[in-house]
Amino acid sequence: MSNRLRAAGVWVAPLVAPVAVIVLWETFRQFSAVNPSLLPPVGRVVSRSFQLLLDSVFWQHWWATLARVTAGFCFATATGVIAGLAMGYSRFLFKVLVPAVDFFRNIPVTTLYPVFVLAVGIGDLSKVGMIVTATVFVVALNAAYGVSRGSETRRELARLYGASRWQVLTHVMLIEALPQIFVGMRVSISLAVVVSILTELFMGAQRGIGQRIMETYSTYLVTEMYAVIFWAGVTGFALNRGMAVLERIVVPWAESHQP
Amino acid sequence: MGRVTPAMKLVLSGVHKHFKSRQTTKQVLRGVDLALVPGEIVAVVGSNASGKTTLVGLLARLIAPSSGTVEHIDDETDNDREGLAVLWQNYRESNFPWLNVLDNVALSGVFARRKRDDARARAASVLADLLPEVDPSSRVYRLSGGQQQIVSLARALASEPRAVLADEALGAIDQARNWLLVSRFEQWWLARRTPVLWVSHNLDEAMLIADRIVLLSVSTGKIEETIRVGADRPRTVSSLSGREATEIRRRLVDFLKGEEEWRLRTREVQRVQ
Repeated sequence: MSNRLRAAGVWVAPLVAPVAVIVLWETFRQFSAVNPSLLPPVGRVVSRSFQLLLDSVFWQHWWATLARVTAGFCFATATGVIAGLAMGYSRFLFKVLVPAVDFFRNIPVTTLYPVFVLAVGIGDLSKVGMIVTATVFVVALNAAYGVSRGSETRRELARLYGASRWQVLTHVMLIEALPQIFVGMRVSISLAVVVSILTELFMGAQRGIGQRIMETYSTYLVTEMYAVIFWAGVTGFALNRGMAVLERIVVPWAESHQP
Repeated sequence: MGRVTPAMKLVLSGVHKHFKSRQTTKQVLRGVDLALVPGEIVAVVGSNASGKTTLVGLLARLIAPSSGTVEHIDDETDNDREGLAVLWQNYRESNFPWLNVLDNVALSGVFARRKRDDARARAASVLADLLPEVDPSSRVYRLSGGQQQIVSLARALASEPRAVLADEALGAIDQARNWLLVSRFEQWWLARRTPVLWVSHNLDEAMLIADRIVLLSVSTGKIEETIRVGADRPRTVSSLSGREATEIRRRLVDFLKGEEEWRLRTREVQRVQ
């Protein structure tokens, strides 16, 4: 009996928060002074959300954002991992670069918006550039910490058994840093979605989730606006979860790993 | 029988080692002379922080002495460390969690493709002998601490080293298995007689394995005493209970008790200051 209850709990637990949101939403709608046209009924938002799945224009917007996120994230990850490995490998580079990287990481990328517009314009290059700027330092720092916290014993062991310096870097230090690199990647992928949508809102775009939100907002398509916001949330959540799944496939030993 | 590997000699002479941190300098070894030669297993016994691990690091040339010399004689290879097997105290860091058990033992084959088949074949036969209960394709990080130490031991034996340096290599292994592994190691060693340094807190283990036990003192930073163990090889657990063994154990216990008393005294002195 208690087992069955617990099994039911596993299914019910994740539903508690969404139900609470719906209840709050509806309560607020009924009993507050908010203009009802700004807060449509939950049921209408849900049905609009599902209608969007059959709407090819919505998919073009969605895909445009996903393409920017993918391009920015992949470039930032590749660059960040290489830079992080170099910083982790060399004590000198670590001491010189880590404080600077930590500083840049803490500059909110939104404050660089005018810089990007002036220097690169308002095209895709500028948008992807902002995604890269927002994420590359996060990946680099995590990679650098991952490498610098690696096991000296394991490096010696590899050297004793014939590993070259290059092999120690690629077969030991890089692999040991992977769990920490994945931490950086999970933070980055969510950040990339946020920054992509933000640049679309600020700069405008032919297509993009942010662009669609702006359009629906300025033409009072409030229900559709919430529906697009809902799918933006789902997209960010799915990308983050996907990264966690990838981590479990690539570094299944990470849970037990103590550097 | 395995490949015959030329053995080497490892000689420490007049070695001092201190470690500097920002405020303090910690003297660990203060004038240690020690030679590891073919045909002899040297066990090192000493209390915590007496410098046993430092001794292993120096002999392996992983750390440099503050003064004195460390020589590897008859070293034919270009790479000083090639052919040396080091067994670390920390079994978690002594294996690669992303490799399976077999490749952890056949480690030289991971870094040199041409050695792979040969290394795996030798690894499989050593594993079948030392760790028969574990499937060689299983994940190494799922093994118990003791089993992970046996993986490291298997790697050392399978790699046909020119010398073995073991730092608490069997510290997480139960007593019965410990006896078995020591006797397997002895069997392996009798066919090769490579130089061995064997650090251990387990007095029975030291007495079973060693031709010579050196006592490393935390109070002086030197080798205070050398005890010869004359029992015939191959040894069995019964060689721990003869009159000679009783006498050796008494000397070991006296030494360790003396070290502990010294440690308590110096702590009081520090408190007074």
